[in-house]
Amino acid sequence: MRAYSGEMTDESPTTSSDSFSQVKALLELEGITAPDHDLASLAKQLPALRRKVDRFYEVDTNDEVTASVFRADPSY
Amino acid sequence: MTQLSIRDVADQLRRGETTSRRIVEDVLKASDKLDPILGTYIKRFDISALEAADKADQELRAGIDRGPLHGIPLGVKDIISTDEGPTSAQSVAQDPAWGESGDGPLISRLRDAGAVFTGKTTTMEYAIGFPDFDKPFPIPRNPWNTDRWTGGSSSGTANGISSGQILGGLGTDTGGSVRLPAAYCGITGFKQTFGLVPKSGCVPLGLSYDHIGPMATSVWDCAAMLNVMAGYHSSDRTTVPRPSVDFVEAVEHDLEGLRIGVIENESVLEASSEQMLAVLDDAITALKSLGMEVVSFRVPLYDELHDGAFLALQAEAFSWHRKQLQQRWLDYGRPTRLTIAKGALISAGDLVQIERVREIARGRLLEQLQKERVDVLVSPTTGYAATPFVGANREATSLSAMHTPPWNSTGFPALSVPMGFDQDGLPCGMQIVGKPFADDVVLRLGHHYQQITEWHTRTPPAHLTSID
Repeated sequence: MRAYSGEMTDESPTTSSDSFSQVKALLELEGITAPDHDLASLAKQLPALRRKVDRFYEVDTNDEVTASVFRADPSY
Repeated sequence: MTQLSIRDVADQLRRGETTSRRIVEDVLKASDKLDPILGTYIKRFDISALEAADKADQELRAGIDRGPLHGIPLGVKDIISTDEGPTSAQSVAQDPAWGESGDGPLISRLRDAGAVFTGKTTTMEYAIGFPDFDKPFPIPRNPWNTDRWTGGSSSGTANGISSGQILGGLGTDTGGSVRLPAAYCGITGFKQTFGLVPKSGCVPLGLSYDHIGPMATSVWDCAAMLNVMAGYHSSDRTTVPRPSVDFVEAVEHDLEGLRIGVIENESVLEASSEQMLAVLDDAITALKSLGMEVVSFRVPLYDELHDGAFLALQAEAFSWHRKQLQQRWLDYGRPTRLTIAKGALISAGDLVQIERVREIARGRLLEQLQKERVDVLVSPTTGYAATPFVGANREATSLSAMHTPPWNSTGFPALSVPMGFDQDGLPCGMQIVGKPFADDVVLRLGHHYQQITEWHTRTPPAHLTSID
């Protein structure tokens, strides 16, 4: 039982120091300095997030499918 | 007592049995008592609403009839800009100058159709996340049980309609934010095909997943709103120029030949309570009684469509919020900033792959619908009914209990209609999904379902008709 914690998340029970430093580095690359308790929370979510992302690389995508179709000359 | 609908009030106005001023005064008076309990509004527009109501009455008396929305009180989720005032996006981080240009195309269209805007309704901060008790905004509560959440993020529009404070309104839906609160609050909500309705004048969340959708008590009412909302607009290049459809007329067409697929992916069944699935069974029995063939259907790459919506919308949201997050990290609510920041944990290559899979999945689904001759899909809108603010079980609050995001990934039209109640007396929603731009088919099925059921007419304990 829990109250709403807020984030859309699947959290791991523990935070590895690797995850913490990876999250910290990625946010700093974006120019964001976040407090440690926020970094720790994101670090807990990182493994599950990466597992979800990795699953997308298991889908058989052919060589022609693009993420989106860019139109140099849109018809409208 | 039964819910007031736009259709009923529009008829009463034309028969001279009431006036727009009387209707608007009644709902504003109800809000004086209900809003402090339910947290419906960020800002009310009492004076301008009454002025608009008087104008609507004058026009009707002069024989000027702008259609079914003429003189009807509607609410607007407070991430959509209007002439009446600033847009907060329910965030202290929001730049007050955003939206100073006033009405976007959608608000203009509704205003031209005679709609009366009673105020800006509550959302979750930036239309994402969950109720945040740490911020200086109202907490939207469910009229069926005020210890329960309305669902989000079009929370105030949903509880305002459910409690009779407005007859309809606008929500936005990036992963289910029209359909989820519609299901939790026992009303009807529609996320139309992506590109049918312009979304300019709205604070974006997931730019390619966002939709502004109609919410009301009935499908007919949503169709009347969509008639005004739909159509290409040059300010939003994702809108598609298409021949206009009269959705109000289309919902009355018969259902002959329509074949329904019931989604039976494990991800839906295992993330839904037995009670919810039992209520859905009853709804399917009702659909069968309309003479339609019902078959089982497995959505290809369902999990990818579901999870991809969240992953990609976080990346898209991050692109919009990055600069502000750099400067005002702590001004965002913690749930919001942590959700959006996850967009920084996804690489450019990851996002491309997620979007490629999105294209593949959409294509495979269309092929399978064609192959199995299925026109519409149904599922519960959510796996569980409205969850309590405190003490919710993990399954009920899990993202997997939301059965709405795949249809933001595909962009297909998806409707939520009330389909019954659970053991705690809380509303349950049925989701009806159609093929792209077959919005009329989805609405038609929902409308016919509401002709043989009365779930959408039920009023909650906190309602305009039950206050002193």
